[in-house]
Amino acid sequence: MAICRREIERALTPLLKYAHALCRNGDLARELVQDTVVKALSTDNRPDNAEAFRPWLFAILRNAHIDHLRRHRRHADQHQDVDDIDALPAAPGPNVQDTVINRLSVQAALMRLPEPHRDILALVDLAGFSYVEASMTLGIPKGTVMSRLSRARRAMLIEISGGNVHSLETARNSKRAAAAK
Amino acid sequence: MTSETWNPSDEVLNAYVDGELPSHEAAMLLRQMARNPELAERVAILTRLRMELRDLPLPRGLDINDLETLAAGVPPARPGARGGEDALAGRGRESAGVTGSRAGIGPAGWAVRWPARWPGRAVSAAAVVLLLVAIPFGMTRYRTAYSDAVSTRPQDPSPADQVAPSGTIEAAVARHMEWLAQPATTTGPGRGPTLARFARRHGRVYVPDLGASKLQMVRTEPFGKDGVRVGYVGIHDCRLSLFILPDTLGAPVPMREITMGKARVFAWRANQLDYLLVAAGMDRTRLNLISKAVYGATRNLQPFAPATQLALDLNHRNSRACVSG
Repeated sequence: MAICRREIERALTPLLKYAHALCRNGDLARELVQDTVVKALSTDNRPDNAEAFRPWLFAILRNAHIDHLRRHRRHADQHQDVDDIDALPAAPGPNVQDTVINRLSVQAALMRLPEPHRDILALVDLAGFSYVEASMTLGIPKGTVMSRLSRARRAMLIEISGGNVHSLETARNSKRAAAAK
Repeated sequence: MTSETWNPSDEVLNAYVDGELPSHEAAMLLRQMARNPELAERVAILTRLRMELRDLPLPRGLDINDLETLAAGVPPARPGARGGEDALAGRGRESAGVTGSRAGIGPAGWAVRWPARWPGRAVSAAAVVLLLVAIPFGMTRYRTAYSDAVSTRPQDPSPADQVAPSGTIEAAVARHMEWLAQPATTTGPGRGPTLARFARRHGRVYVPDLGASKLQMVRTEPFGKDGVRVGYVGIHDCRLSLFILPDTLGAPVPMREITMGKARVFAWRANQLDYLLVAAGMDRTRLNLISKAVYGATRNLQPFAPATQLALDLNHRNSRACVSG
């Protein structure tokens, strides 16, 4: 119980950030964290090492969020398949400028992203998860975490630039093509 | 594959900025970046994005110190439940946290099993008192939507809603302030027989263990004609008094806050007992949280839920020290 409490205390702020990124609602985020804490404290079936505890704790919150969406019958509307999200515009465009990446633009862009992108970004960037921890939480291979994260950050840069920017890869290729002409 | 022919993908660049790329690949990427400013720029943008995301603060209104919502992790309403009238004989021992575990419904409607051992000092004098007197009367659970229940608006309660006889609140505040004026060294050990006598006479008293908020019960003494005062002291001499008085009117009265000089008083009636919680100079959020937790516990006749204990503990760490005088 002592380890559990200590780990929960450490994870409270990242949990709140993750919950808010998932549901985009402060009150609901608090409820999700509260439910997660109660659930974690009340079960006998906890991971007994700190490495596994955090992914387990965040998975509880994620499941609680999915349950909430299901209960409110908004799951079908809000939860997009992550593979659909990859259909980013392919047209060439200017690269994003470093100067437009600031706290405000990042925060606003994050909230505009589809849920699967927010999910992986919140785990790795907001909660500071390693790829292995994220794969444990999401129940997916590490390689899938890498590809999802890559797509999510690409989508993030597009949002920040207001849609004028596309895949880094695309931008690079277009520049190469222009240089070759 | 050499650094000359290597065309790093977005995944590789992201793994690099996340520190997840194997060292030999990271070295290869660094060599490429030295020759390719465009590639270096891509990495710089990803690094900047990652830094900004990592440094994002909690959204406004989601302060971790605002733990009141977390403290509401107590069982929700059981439809139709009424205070002190459900026959739950045989469950009292478990509910008092003395032993075993029990099934309950968590805030989200989960069927949860509370831990076999409650964190902290599970067996308190309060729990024993509850054990002695609560089982014959049964215990029930009320909804504890604290924020809905607490009224801080100044108002004159009607006699039926009035907690404690006229003048009692003033007397309670005076007693608490008198206690505050005494040196901490005069606080002696708890006087259990006072609580036990009160419980034998009036039954169904629940005096919470506030150890999670680092407040220890140090004194119990008679108050007024039939009441009792329970004194709690914190590690920096924070002091809190809980006055419990018998009441024959019966109907529960929601908690309301009254300010008298430097003292804040929280008054409510539950299970035919009037409760007055008095403190002065205590951090506002800490006292709010304690009052709501105690209010819920006295209505439910149950120990604090694990989440409530955790919230009290965290809140105490983030609270200002008590101000004396």
